[in-house]
Amino acid sequence: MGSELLLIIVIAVALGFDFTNGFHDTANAMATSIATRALRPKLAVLLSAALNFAGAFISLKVATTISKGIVDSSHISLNVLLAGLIGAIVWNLTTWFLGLPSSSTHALIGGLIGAAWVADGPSAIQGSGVLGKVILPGVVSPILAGVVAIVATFVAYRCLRRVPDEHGKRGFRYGQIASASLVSLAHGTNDAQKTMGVITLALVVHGSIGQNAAVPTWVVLAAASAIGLGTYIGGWRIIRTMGQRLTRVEPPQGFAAETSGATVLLASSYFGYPLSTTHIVSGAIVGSGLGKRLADVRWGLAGRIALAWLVTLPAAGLVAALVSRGISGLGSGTGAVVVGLLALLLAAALFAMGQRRPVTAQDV
Amino acid sequence: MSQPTFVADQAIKWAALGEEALVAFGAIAIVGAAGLIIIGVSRASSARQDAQGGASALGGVSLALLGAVICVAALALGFIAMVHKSS
Repeated sequence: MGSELLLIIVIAVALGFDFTNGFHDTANAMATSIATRALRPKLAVLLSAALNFAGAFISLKVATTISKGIVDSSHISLNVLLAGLIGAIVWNLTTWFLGLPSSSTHALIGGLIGAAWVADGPSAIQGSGVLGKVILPGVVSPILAGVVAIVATFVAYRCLRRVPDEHGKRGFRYGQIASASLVSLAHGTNDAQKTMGVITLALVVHGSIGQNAAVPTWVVLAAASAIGLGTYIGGWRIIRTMGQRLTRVEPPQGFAAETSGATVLLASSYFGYPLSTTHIVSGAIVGSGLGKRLADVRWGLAGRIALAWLVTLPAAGLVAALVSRGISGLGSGTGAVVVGLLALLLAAALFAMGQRRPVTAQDV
Repeated sequence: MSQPTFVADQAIKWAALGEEALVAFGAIAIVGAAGLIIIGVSRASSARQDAQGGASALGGVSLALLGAVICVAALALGFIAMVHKSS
């Protein structure tokens, strides 16, 4: 079976991952705006989808560096990319089913690590990169965003002391639309590029384009469309968790959380410190709960979310490792087709399970 | 004698982390600026309703404008950061 077919499967699965990334992360930008009724749910996801689509075109600087410093590039093959992507998709769908916000980026990196480890051994993994680019940011980002959000929420409520309640809430609702839009745009810029990076890497590995070639336009368009469409579908389960369950969000808190999240996210992009949007916004929402009144946070749920973050890397890695083993056991081409079909079946099963107790726009 | 080098020191960009943390606290100023807009608009509208005269309304409008300038500048900086990102 030709390597062209394998390349096509990798590209299709990468776009599938991008789609799950979109609907998994809609909550990051829009959960608090929906919770405070700053935006109607359907309008919120439409706005977020459009901005995610637009964001994908803003900068292409990092599109080819998804695995840089984490997995040795000489160990990246189409099989490794395919297995890594499937590991990430399975973890994204599992956490979506459970309504838990978790990092799609960490899932993808975990998947690539697991697949490369099985294919070429532990020497394929660059431990210091995993520590510096994944583990430490995973710990720092929610704490930093949370601390900033605590102070920002306190400031927001102080500002409202001499203002009629309705004026204040209406004002911060308008502010929420701006801050959530900025998070959506930044999310499109950061996350659509991960898929562009994977597809471009696949094209390089296959030999379709040169090592230093620019990201092809069709790749940018496809990745932007997939993440935009995924965002529009709306991961209502996670939106409900972040907007209603983690803490009760009022407009000043929502604005403080989204502004803190956007600032931390953009600062990290600018200074070259890779952080997860999900971790940042979740930390900021918890901070906004603490900033208004201590203990206004459901710590049991926050603990479950933190546990999911801890498990993301190894869980996606384990699935990817199994997939990688399966592909090599069946032979590259046949294995890819079989594993691709099995992944599709698993995704369909998770969707079907989710539909038994559906969460829709009316529930958030 | 050479200083011991820790793996974390090689892997983690401490300077970038510090700069990022400093900039992140700018969010508090943005929220404060949004608060200024709300206070300013509220004062201006109350002054108009109570017929307190132009000075009070002008003060409110000035406050709101100051807040708006800070917020727009922050949005512009955010957009610049997005375009010129390094990660």
